[in-house]
This record gives sequence, structure tokens and C-alpha cells, in this order.
Amino acid sequence: MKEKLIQLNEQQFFIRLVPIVMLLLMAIGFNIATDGKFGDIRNLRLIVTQAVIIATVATGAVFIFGTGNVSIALGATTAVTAAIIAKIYLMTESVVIMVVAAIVVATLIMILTAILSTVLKVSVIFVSIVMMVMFLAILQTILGAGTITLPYAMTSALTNANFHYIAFVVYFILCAIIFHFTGVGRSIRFIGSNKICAKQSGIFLDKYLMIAFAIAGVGVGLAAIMTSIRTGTIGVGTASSLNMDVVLAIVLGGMSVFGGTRSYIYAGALGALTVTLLNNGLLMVGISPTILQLVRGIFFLTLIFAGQKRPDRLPDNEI
Amino acid sequence: MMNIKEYFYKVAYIISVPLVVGLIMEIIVYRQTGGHLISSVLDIRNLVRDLGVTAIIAFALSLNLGSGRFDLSLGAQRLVATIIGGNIALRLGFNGIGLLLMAILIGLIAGFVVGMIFIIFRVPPVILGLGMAMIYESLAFAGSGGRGLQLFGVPDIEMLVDPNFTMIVLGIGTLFVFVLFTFTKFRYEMQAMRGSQKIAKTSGINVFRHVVICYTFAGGLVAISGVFSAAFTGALTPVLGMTSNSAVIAMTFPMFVGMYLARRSNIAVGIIVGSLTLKLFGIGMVALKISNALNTTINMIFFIGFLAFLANRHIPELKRREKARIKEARAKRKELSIAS
Amino acid sequence: MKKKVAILLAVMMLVFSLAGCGSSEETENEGANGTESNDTVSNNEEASDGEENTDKPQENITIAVAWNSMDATTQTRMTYLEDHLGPAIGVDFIFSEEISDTAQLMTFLENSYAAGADGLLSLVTDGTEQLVSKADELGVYTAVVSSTLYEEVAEIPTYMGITGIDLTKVADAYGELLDAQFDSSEPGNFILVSGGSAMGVASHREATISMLNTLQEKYDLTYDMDVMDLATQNATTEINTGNEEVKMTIVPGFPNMDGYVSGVSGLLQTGEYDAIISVYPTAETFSTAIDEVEKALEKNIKMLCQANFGENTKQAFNTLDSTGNPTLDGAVINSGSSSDAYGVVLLYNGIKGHSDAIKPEGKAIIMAPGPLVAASAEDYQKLEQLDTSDDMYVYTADEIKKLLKTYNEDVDYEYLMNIANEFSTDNILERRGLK
Repeated sequence: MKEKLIQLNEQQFFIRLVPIVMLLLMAIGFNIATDGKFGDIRNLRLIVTQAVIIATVATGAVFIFGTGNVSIALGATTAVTAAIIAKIYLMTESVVIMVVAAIVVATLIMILTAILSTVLKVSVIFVSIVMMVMFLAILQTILGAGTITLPYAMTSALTNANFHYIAFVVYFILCAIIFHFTGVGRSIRFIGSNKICAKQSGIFLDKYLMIAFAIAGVGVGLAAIMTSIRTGTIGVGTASSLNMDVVLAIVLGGMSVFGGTRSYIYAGALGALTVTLLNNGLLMVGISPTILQLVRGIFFLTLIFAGQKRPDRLPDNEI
Repeated sequence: MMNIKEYFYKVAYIISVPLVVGLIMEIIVYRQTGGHLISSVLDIRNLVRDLGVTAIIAFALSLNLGSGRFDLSLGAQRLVATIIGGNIALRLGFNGIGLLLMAILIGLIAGFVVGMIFIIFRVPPVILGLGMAMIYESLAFAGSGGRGLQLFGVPDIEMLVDPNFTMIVLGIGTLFVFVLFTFTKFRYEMQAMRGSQKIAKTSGINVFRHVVICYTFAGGLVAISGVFSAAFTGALTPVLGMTSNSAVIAMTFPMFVGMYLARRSNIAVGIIVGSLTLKLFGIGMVALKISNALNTTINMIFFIGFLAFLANRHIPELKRREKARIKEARAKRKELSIAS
Repeated sequence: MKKKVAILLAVMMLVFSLAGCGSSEETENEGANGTESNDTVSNNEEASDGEENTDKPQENITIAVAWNSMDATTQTRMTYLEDHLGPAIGVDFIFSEEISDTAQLMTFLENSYAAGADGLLSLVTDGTEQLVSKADELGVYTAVVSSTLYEEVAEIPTYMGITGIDLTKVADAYGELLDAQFDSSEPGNFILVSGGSAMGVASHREATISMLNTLQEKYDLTYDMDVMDLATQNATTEINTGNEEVKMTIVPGFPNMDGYVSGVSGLLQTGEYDAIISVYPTAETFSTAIDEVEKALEKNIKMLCQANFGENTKQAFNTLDSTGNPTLDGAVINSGSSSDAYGVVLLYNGIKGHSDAIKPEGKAIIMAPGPLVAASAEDYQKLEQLDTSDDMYVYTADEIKKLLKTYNEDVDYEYLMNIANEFSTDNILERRGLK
């Protein structure tokens, strides 16, 4: 019996099931706790709408995390991109230019970040922390003392055209193909598994890191558009929680934080759904806002522990 | 033992860094505003207080960051230690010193917990830091009903704002770090860990115990800075949403500068000098009356520049040696071809 | 294997604790960390009983509150709503975390709607137009604690109105404060601490503009820039006042910024400034810095700032600095709980179907409490007990009941306006029997 359990334990399929099972259990738990209000179709649709932005960025972030690096500047990048494209839209009044500009600007910013890591050989985590702080400062300078408002007609038109869903689905499919069915994705996961082996096998680490950041940049650009049209205003606090939510999503989605072969592209979307569901459900149950964060933190840590194989050594090569 | 001349050069080098930076900032400030960097005794008091806080946080960071573990929960540990430790001390009626000691105690415990979780879970320190920061921020908030630590108007704690006291505590902290990093087994363990964890472990070093010690001391040190901040601004308020990090992230720059300067001296002196240098730079920026956003941006650009410098500084030397080698090889080949 | 057990335990813990937590009527910290299954079953039953609310004649309504900050004052306001007002008038509350941008506000609106909220009280001042429009689509009544009505959306039926501090009276409040401390014939030099004015905090910006206008009027100054531009300066700037005897410097930012307190200390050390006037509570922040300068220069520096009811303000007024003067010389007090109470009144009346009675032209109304002035420590002594206990709230549950048409037939637009206009220090002292 025990052997069979251990065998089951090791099977990849079983491991991949865990986050899904957890999501379902949580959903059922919340449904019971709120007497069915949680399971209402309207509520579930709300959750999906709210999760889409996080899911987009998280799907792109899977590439970065897949190489074994961590970036916590994605929210700040989204906010800065949103501010820039909002200004562009107000100048040009063209939706097409805005969309194109979003993707271009975001990708450029991410590539710039990647250049700092590859060319200047500064660790990715440091660059991301510095970028996070700097982008907030830049955002404040762009916005000044007020906010940027986009015309309601445009934002509602885009929302009704289901821009969120279409963009996310297209992006997700693209990323899934790249990550799981092309050499690029394989190389990225190889780098995450064992950097030294990858290098010895002839994989240029710098090139693939840049590619990873560029792909993530596309996701950030799309998310910037989604954020702008969801509310129509860009302020200093825009996308501020996205930094943490993306990391949470990736972890809760079952992706290993070390990257490597146990990275799956759906981890981002699944995790985004879990995070949003958690926030939504906890609010419905009436947990005090002061301990909401505590609950999230405990959940986060428990899942990290349970979600991956415990290494023999302490993790190193952080810098 | 090094001779007097070497010693003299090293001391001169160490002192020159903050001196040069201070001089440059003074010139810039004078040209722009006609004022001075430091114009009164009170300015020096403020400088000493700020230096105390900066250097202590830099010490705390060097314990983990210096070995490649970026602990993002340090800011939250600072909150928990100061707020919960401070409130307990106030309820027990302690005076300034008692409050400081209580905060340090809670800080040690907080750091210890993070260290233990690290060696049990073995997740990357950044991710662990994020999770623990969430938990600790929440605890600090809920544990004080959102009020944090209110030191305003509390009797018997005037010494906490006295710069002399700050200097004494800073001196004790420096001494502690100096001894720890120079004369103890801890120093060898740390340097071994920086080289290769696997080798360190196989050569018999208990890496797990070492890491827990690092985290514990970092927590204790960071509590000191929290208490001083609370005393000067009247209160330390808890925050949620991961914003507790910003106070600590700002200190990574002094820490790196300090570690770089530590090559010519030791870690304790290096960090203090590094902190002083950056504090003078910071005072200059404030005196120029530029906006906070611009100040931050300039700081970050310098930080990235410095990190790039650290990562690439050996390259010119390497290139030079390579050129010399190629030259030598070419000369040798020529020699051989002439000979044959 | 250990990991799988860990996940299973964690999820079980969560499910049981959530089932135990039950509805939003339960107050915080109850069973959030796992309970036995027996307890959870009984808790669940209690919770569902509570929702029926056996004593009250009508059903409870649910109001969601969107907080824009989470600190000690917020805790006091939460306690007021949840423990004092809620049970008495039959309202359940859903509280948000700190909301810093419009997207989070919309998410909270949607989540609250799904959780069954009938109304939303927003303390977030940005994005009012989107909030109100979206809420109308969902059928959720809204009221905002803000000082700007946003005419474009005022006709939306579910938008009840705004209850932020009455801006017209803020300038007078600061004027009163200044007059009590400074004579018009003896000009002084001021440091204006503008807080988040340059960073999008609307309330700070409006207060700074009021301060600048008041000073302009009092000392007959001419500014060389528009008041709005002056208020939103993002770096420490000395303003051109057109009057050599009055010097003013604006200091933006918050204490967590590098060099903030040292910067103000540096300004004070020049010996040229007589007072610091601040738009957010800063009595403690600068106390040490002010004290040292006072000792060094042997001069009294006054501190006038915005404050809230509570222990901190009381202590600030009662603690003497080294010159023998109180640390806080005068304060403009915004009663947050009053704004919240007015908001609940507007929402309750709307939800119970009495919109027509209180919205005369079908447009959103302004029911704004004025700011209160405590020009000296003696003045505050009379006010210091407010908001500290159940019978000392600025508005008790019984008084609020009288503003709900369900309990009091006379309620209409004029009635509510009278109440708001009557709001003053004297009125409060009289009602609480503290006169």
C-alpha cells in the first residue's frame, strides 16, 4: 500500500492535479460557507473577469520564472505602460495605435530590464527591485498630482467587444505553443532546471533570458490596456497589487519557483483564478480586512512547501 | 602584520570616500542654493541619528544579502519587532533601554522563525521573504489595533532620541558585527558559504545552523533601527500591502558600497563609511530641494550603475592580461619561427 | 508524502474555518485559524440565526465600505459602524482592505454585490464617476465620502450623494485657527506641510488650497502662481508671497521619505519660521525636531494641523514642550465617523425606498459635516472624550435613527440639511451633555 502511495506521489500527473484539486476544494468550501451565494453564476463570471488581468501577466511571467529568475516589477511596469499609452491615446485618439503602442512600449521596457541583467550582469532580482522603485517614481512624475482619464465611450466600447477575453485567449494560446512545443520553450525550461548544463549544451543564457522578458513584455502590454479600459483612470495606485498578485498566482498555480521542467504554462492562469477566488471568497465570508493578508500569507507559504520537491541543499545562486 | 605605510594608505582610502562625496555635494549645494550641507549642530545631530538607523539596517542586510539571500521580509520583521516588542515594554513600564532590549528580543525571535522556516521549507529566500512579510505585516497591524508603537509623550524614553545614545548603540552594534565577522568561527562559515554551499557542507560546516544564526541576528539588528525611527518621529505605524520593504530596500545601496569598501578594511568600518557617504549624498539631494520622485530615480540609477560596476570591474583587468598574453604568445611564435 | 498531507490539512483547515466564520455579522478574529468540526457546526447555526435578526421588525440591509487607508483611525470608524450603529439600525457591514486605485474599487464593488450588498459607502475619492455608473448597473446604492459631487453623474438614481468635509467651511476653519494664534497686524512665517497634495490625495490638496487662500486673505498676499499649482508643488519650495514680512515654504511628502523630518528641521533651524501648518496629523512627527530647535533658538514654534478625535490628539494638546507651550497649539478636526454616519443615513434611506424624500430634484445631494476647530488646549479639553466610548460618539445610534425615514416620518431634504448645518462644536457638546 505504502509503495503504491509513494509511486502515486511521484507521478507527474498527480502533482499537476494538486492545484486544480485545491481550487475546487476552496470553491466548494466558500460555497458552503456563504450558503450558495459564492457559487452563483454572476459571481463566478465576476471572478473570471477580475482574474483575466492577473492571468495575462502571470502567463507571461511563467517564461521569466521558468528560467529560475524572479521578477517583482511586473505591476510597476504595467502601471507605467498604462500611463504612457493613455497619454498616447489622448494625443492620437486611435485605439489601434494605443494597442500597438502598449505592446511595443511594454516589450521595450522589459527588454531594457533584461539588458541590465545580461549585459551588465546584475542579478535579475536586484534589477527588478530597482525597476519597481524607479517606475513608481517615474509614474508619479508622469501623472503629477492628478490622474489620467480615458473617455468612457472608448473604454466601454472595448469592454463590450470583449477585448479582455480575446486578448487573453490569443496570448495564452501563443504562449502555450511557444512554451511547450518549440525549442525556445524547451531551452527556457532547460535553463531553469540546470543553468550550467544548459550553458554547456550550447544554449545562450542571455539570448533566452531576453526572449523570456520580451514575451512577458507582450503580456504586460496587453494587461496595461486591460487595466486602462477596466476603469478608465490611471492613478498612482494603478496595478500596485499586481506585483504581489502575479507571484502569488504563479505559486498557487502549481509552478515551481525554481523553474525548470516542472513549469506549465497554465500555472499562471490557474493561479490567477485561485488568487481572485480567494480574495472574493474571503470577502464574502466576512473575514476582517486586517487578517485577510495573514490568511493569504499562510496559504502562500503552505502551498510553496507542498508544491515542490524539497531540495537537498539550501537554494543558492540567488545573486 | 602590515606595515605603517600600508595601514596609512588604507585609512586614507577609507576616509577619503565620504570626504570626497561630501565635498562634491557641498560644492553643488553651495552653487545652487548658497546654503551649506551641514550648517549647525542640530544638522549633525540629525546626521548621526540617520546614520545610526542606516548603518544598522545595512549591517542586518549584510548578514543575508552578502551571502546571496535577499530577505524581503526584513522590513516586516522590523515592524513586528518594534511594534510588538515596544508595546509589551510600554505595558511593563520599561524605560528607553528596556524598550530597546525588548524590541531586540522580539526581533531575534522573528528572525529566528524566518530562518527556521527557510531551512525546513528550502524555498528561495525571495519568495519566502514575500510570504513572511505578508504574515508579519499583518501581525504587526492586528497586534496593535492599527496604532503601531506610539512613543510620543511617553516618559523615560528621551534617551532614545539623544544622538549620544544613538552613537553608543551604534558603536556597540559595530563592535558586535566587527567581532562576529573577524574573530569568530562564524566568519569562516560565512566565507565558505559564499564560495560554495556544497563544499562547505561536505567539509563539515553546519550550514543550516549558520543560516538560522544569520537570520536571527539580522532580525535583532533591524529592531534597533525601528526603535530609533519610532522615537524620532513619535510613532511607528504598521502598514499592509508589502510596503514595509521600502525602508529596507533603500538601504541596500549603502550596504553594497560598504561591502566594497570592506575590501580595504573590514566589514564593520566599511558599512559605516558607506552609509555615511550615502547619507551625505542624501542630505545634499534634500538641500537641493528636488522632488522625492526625482531623488529616488537618481538614487536608483546610481545604484544600478554601482551594481554594474561591481559585476564588471574585473573585466578591464582581464582584458589587459589577455592582451599581454596574446602579445607574449605572438612574440614567442615569432621567436620560434625565426629560430627554425 | 509530507507535502500532500500538508496541503490536505491546509485545505481542510481553511474549509472548516470558513464554515465556522460564517456571515459578515461575526466580528474579526473569531476562528480564523481552524476550529473543531463540532464548533463549526454550531457557529454556522448561530450565524444563520443572526442573519434573521429576530428582534428587529425589518430585515437587515448590507452596506459595503471601501476604505482608502488602514490605520488606527480606520479601526475606530470600523468599530463605530460595526458595533454601535450596525446592530441598532439593522445594518450589516462588509469592509474592504486598503484600496488605492480605481480598479481595486471596482473589484470591491463587484465582490460586495455578489456578497449581497445593497449599498456601498466609498471613502476612495477617485473614480467616483465609474463607481456610480457601474453600481447603478448592478442596482447598488452609492454614497461617497468626498467633497466633489461630479455633476455629470449626479442624476443617476442610485447615487445618493456625498458626505465629505464641507469645503466651503474648511477655509473658514483654518482662518479661525490662524486668527486665534496670529494677529493680522503681526505677520509670521509659515511652513505649510502639504502631505500628499502633489501625489493625488484629493483631501490634502483641497485643504492646502484652503490654507493658501486663507493666508492670502488674512495677510493681503499676492501669489505669483495659481493656487492649484502652488498646492501641488512636488518639492520643497519657498513661495513668492508679495509681502516681505510673510514668508511661506511648502513641504510636500510623508515621514517615510528620506530626509523628510531632517529637511523640516533644517528649515526651522534658520530661525525664520514661526509656525508649521499641516493638512494631516503631524503633531508627533515633528515634535522632537521642533523641540530641539526651540531649545537651540529659545523660540516658540507653533504647530497647527489637522487631527482626528482620539488619544493621540489629546496627548498632543496636553504634552508641553520645552518652552512650556503645548506641543499642538491648535487643530482642525474632521470627524470621520460623522461623514460615515451621514453616508449610512443617505444609503439607508435610499435602500428603503425613500430616495424621493431626500433627493429633492432627483439629484445626488451634499450632506457635509463642517470641520471643527480646537484653537487651543482648553478648547480640546471639552472635546477629548468624543469617539472614545459608546455614549460619547459624535452621533449616537439613537440620533442617527432620527435621520432615517423608516423610523422618523419627518425626515426629508430640509431636515437633513438642518442637521448638517447645525454641526458645530457647540452642537456636539450640547448633545453629549459636555457643555
